[in-house]
Amino acid sequence: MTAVAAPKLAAAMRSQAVLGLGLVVISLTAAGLVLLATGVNPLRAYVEILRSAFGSVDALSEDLVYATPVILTALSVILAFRCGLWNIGADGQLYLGAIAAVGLGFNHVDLPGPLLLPAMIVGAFVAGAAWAAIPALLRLRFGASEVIVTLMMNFLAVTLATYLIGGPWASGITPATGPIAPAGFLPSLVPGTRVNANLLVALAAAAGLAFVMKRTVFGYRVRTIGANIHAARFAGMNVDRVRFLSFAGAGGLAGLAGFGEVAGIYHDLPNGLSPGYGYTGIVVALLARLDPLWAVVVAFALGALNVGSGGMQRALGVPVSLVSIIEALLILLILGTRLMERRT
Amino acid sequence: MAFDHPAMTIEDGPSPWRLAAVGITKRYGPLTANDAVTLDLRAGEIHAVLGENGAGKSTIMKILYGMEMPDAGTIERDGQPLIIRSPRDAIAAGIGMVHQHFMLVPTLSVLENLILGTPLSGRFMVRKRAVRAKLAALAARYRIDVDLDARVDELSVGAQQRVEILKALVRGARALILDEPTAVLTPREVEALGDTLRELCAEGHGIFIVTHKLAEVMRLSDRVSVMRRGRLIGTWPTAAVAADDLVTHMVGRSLQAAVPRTARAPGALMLEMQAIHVPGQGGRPGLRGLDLRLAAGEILGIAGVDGNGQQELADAITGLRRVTSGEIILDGEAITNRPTATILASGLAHVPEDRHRDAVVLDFPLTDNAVLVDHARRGIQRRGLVDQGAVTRFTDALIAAFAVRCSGPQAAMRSLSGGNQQRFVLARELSRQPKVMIAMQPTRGLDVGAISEVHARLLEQRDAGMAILLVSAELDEILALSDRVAVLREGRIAGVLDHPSVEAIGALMLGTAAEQAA
Ligand SMILES: Nc1ncnc2c1ncn2[C@@H]1O[C@H](COP(=O)(O)OP(=O)(O)O)[C@@H](O)[C@H]1O
Ligand SMILES: [Mg+2]
Repeated sequence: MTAVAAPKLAAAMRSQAVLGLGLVVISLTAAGLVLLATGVNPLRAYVEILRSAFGSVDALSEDLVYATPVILTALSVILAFRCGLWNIGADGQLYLGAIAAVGLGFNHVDLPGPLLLPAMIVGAFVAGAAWAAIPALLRLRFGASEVIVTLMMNFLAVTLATYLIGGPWASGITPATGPIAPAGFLPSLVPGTRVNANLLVALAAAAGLAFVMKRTVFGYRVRTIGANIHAARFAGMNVDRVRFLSFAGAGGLAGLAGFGEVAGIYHDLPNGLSPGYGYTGIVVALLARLDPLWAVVVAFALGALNVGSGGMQRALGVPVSLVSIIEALLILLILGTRLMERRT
Repeated sequence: MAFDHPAMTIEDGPSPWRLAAVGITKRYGPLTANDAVTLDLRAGEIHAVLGENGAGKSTIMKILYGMEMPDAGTIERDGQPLIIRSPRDAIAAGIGMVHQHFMLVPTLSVLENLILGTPLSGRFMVRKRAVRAKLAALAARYRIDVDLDARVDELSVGAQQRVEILKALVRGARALILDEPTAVLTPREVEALGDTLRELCAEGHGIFIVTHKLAEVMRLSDRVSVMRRGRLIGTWPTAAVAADDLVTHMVGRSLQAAVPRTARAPGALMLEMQAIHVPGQGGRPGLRGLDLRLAAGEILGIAGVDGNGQQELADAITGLRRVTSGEIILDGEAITNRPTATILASGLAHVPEDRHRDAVVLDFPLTDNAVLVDHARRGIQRRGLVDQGAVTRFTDALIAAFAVRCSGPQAAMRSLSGGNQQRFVLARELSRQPKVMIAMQPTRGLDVGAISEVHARLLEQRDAGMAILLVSAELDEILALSDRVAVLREGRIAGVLDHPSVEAIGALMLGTAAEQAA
């Protein structure tokens, strides 16, 4: 519902573009200095990053593979944050979604083929939502910090997955559960790559969340609570109910990320399913300024950076830690600028 | 500032000094909080500063203490200008202040708080016992009862205040400013504070005590100054002035030119509160068996010193705070402890006291603010979707109806002046065609033009048959608008006046009159 006068918008976009460009130059220079210090030619490194990230269909597809779960965890963080709650638990909710998807798809459940995928999607959403409902209740009933509770529950979720992998659902061969039924496989979008239909789920979720926020009564309530919880109460909004639903919905979105990893990529639940997608989601949400559509763009950019720097590392023999440092540098710079903007 | 400081050596006899604020003017935007105020304080006296809420008492004290800079005027000691740009400067000049809200470190002990930031803290570890003994002696001398080893967050409010006073003395304060010190105290603690203050004066300290409690002024002070609407009305020796006259000075003899009004034609009973109890919090009384009746077509003014249950009263009616016993009936329907949304939907409008916090979302455009309460109404939403066109049309209508000055329906609420924000809130609440409206401090912070417009709107609604509960700290406003006035004191209605007068209200407010039956 927010609209800015056209010239103001243009000016804002221009200053945004200048700022963004400046940031990229600064971080490239800084990262270049780091590379130079370790005896690597920065220009070669950058060419290598671009080539690895965008140079082939395979490269592009891997960017998207990375972006898919991150879009969903970012949306999860955004939905919770919009009504003033921190969801640090997207990683755990992702695991619960994956566990539910495997639980249904792993030969335990006898569903007719065409029903299995929908059941896995719904199951993953519900499992993520239920996992998130616990910290939401603790926060709304007893005032327990959702930051701490979700963080702790992340470890709990990983432990639960490890237990299932090692025990009841063990495949006995690989450090993963047994495979799910083929009816539970998500189709690939580009043959021969790992990009799968969950990307479409993620894009639909982003568009859906943007629509809910902008156009629906529920979204209006969420935004009001996030912007001024007192005014929301005085206006008679059921603040606790809206916040509970948002937080549970946030858990559901993260659960969908877990579903995609299982049904689209691994076809089982491996150890170490998520390399921290839930935490990356927080970064993406903040970089995207809690805008669901920008979250898609930022997630893709981070995916490209990740894939590209991985390729560069292999090509030039740069240590992994150096790559992480460069990535962190970039993110810190951008976040730092965001914070400075807010203060002025 | 250490052991050899005057405050810590008993031999030091009272030496005369005089601290003065001369011609101080302080503006906050369009509002003049202090208008050429001149006040002085002499060694050995207690000088009470009396005035209604918003009279500018805290402002002049903050200026003396360097927390605010005046737009005009000077501070002088013994006729010499004194440069005070920060509390640091004030402390160096021997001025100390105890605030309405305390500024102690809750997790540290009393002793640590006392020496924090003084040169004593550097030597603390070395001479802990010596320092401790000196401080204990200082406390004893001024009859300040504190446990030096207790943690501050374990102390009662009264004890924390004593620590604050001691802290000011340790820092060498000769002139001590206490802003509403008794508001948070039990009667016994008030007594003890009086003893301490007299002890301090006997040793040549001077004390400004800000209050709006008349009885204390008469009992404690040597001189009394009255402020009203940013102006100093006068300063008198307490012995030479009558309490009644002080009330008149405080609330103002000359009322605003009365808004033209028709005779009162009260209709059916619209709001009834029976023996309402709401627990108090943070030293406030809550509500203790409050009874109230409000009819259609009348404005019932609720007068009273802030903090006597006004907030709890509004919160109880609107369902924002739980009522522990009693019944609230809105137009024949029991609404006690119902959800706020239900209560608002059954015909209640609410203009909250803290506009920025509770009535609007500053970062939202006017459109989003227009539907804050009624966003789920048919016509605004259909099947869970907000109809943007309808919202914009509705916003345009509100803007037009109350001549809200803004750049359009998409303007951010933040970009409007206070008066226009309030116009918009009133327009929104009245558009809901309520049976009963609660208006809390509806003109606080507004300029004169906006005030009279808000007043006219309220009277217009009353004439149209609305029942209006007007809660205001401005007696002038209460008198100008109300058909009847109920005075709220300590969570109860101290009396209802059918023919209100300043004197009668003042007496009920300050508890100097025998309680009248409600
Ligand atoms: N920081 C501020 N910004 C804007 N207005 C203020 C500020 N502080 C005080 N005021 C206004 O100045 C007036 C005087 O306030 P104050 O000195 O606190 O009154 P008192 O202490 O007598 O109740 C009030 O109308 C108040 O709203
Ligand atoms: Mg004050």
